[in-house]
Amino acid sequence: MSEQAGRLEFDDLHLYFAAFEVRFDDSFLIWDRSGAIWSEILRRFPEFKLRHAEPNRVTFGTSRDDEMQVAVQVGLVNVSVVLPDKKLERLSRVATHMTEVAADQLEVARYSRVGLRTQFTLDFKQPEAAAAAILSTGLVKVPDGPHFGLDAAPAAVEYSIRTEDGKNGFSLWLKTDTVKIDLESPFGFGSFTNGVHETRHRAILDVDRFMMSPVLSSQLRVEDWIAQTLHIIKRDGQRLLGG
Amino acid sequence: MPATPPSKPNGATASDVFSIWSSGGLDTAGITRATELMQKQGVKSTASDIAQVQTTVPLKYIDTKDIYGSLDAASIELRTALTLLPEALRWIDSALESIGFGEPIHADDAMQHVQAIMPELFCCRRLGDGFGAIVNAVQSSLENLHGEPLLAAQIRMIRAALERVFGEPVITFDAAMDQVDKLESAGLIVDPKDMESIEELLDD
Repeated sequence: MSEQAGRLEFDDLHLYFAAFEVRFDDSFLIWDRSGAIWSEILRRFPEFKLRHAEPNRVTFGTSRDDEMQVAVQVGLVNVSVVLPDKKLERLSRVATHMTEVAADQLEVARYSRVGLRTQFTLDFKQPEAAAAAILSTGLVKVPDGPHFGLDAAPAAVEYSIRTEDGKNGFSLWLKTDTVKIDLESPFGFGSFTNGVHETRHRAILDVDRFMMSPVLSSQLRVEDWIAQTLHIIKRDGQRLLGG
Repeated sequence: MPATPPSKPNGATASDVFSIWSSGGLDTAGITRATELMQKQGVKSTASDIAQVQTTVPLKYIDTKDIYGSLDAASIELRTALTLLPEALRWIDSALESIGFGEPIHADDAMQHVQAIMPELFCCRRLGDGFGAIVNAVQSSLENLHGEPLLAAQIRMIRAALERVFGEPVITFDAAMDQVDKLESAGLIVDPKDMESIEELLDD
């Protein structure tokens, strides 16, 4: 979709972020077995580097092309990735292994919630252009004319919906977002770089699809669940926005 | 014998009522629905029946069909397993029904259909060691009959094993072995035929 006009369609967006998460009743075995958990995970994925460690939460991450962060907490396992591959194959592999290891080591037999969150984005130079893109979908209506004494184009728009049937559910946000990065160069490095100063305005379709009924670990094949959930998100995202 | 699995008869039977209870859990709506069906079908229940159901269904877990609602995107082995297992269960129900009507030949015929499904299910063992163990045990149980018909109790045990693996496709190996033990306790021989020959050789 160009800045000028047109209707924002699903195919205009690209998959920017995805996260898989399982939640379970607090397992304090994490205080005994954290080392075993991470040794097992690192044997399969040696590229992970320690980012953060405290008793209730340990985080590892990578900064390859697809930046990934993985965490095991007292009551959850989370795998998040920025700019993932289109089919979430790597996330799927990591999530499958981490969930298996955590369920085994933390003796988790059932999950209270399983979710996959995806963000599809499109960047714009101006916030008004991002807002216009959201408005072009027709999901949000803004009456013509001045609003509350202002005669200007909206700079931010948000549409959200949440649906649950007692077993599965989803939350969806179609919104604008502005990301401002101001990273100063460390002392002594000023002659090499001026740091990073960038502002991005984005239209985002953010979908969180989840199971809210308890699910046994023996019922859930993580790689299949992720594949079919991504399929549902893409299929219904296209239905929502067209494209 | 029909060439396709039998469809459910009109109206509900006692086992349908139990299925509703089991799959829907013990929420008020499920009990009301089940009670209505029971009254409609003239199924008599007692307080002890209900108590038994309550102890056998301790928690309401999500159904397999609600976890994997869009199998198009699932792996071929999961898609195949979740398609074939309900078919096998329908044939088993047909066999049990035939036994109830005093028609052992029809029952045996239905179980032949189950046996024909098993090799394809065996190809889905990449789902996990537990899945493979149960499917292998059921397949061996059927092969090791050497033409003898199954007893109703043995058919019910095979049904329980396949229903378990349908509900829990990634069942752990240890949990699967419990299920395999139950098959053995029903008098079924769960080891592959070739395995017996190897054991005999080793004994010699």
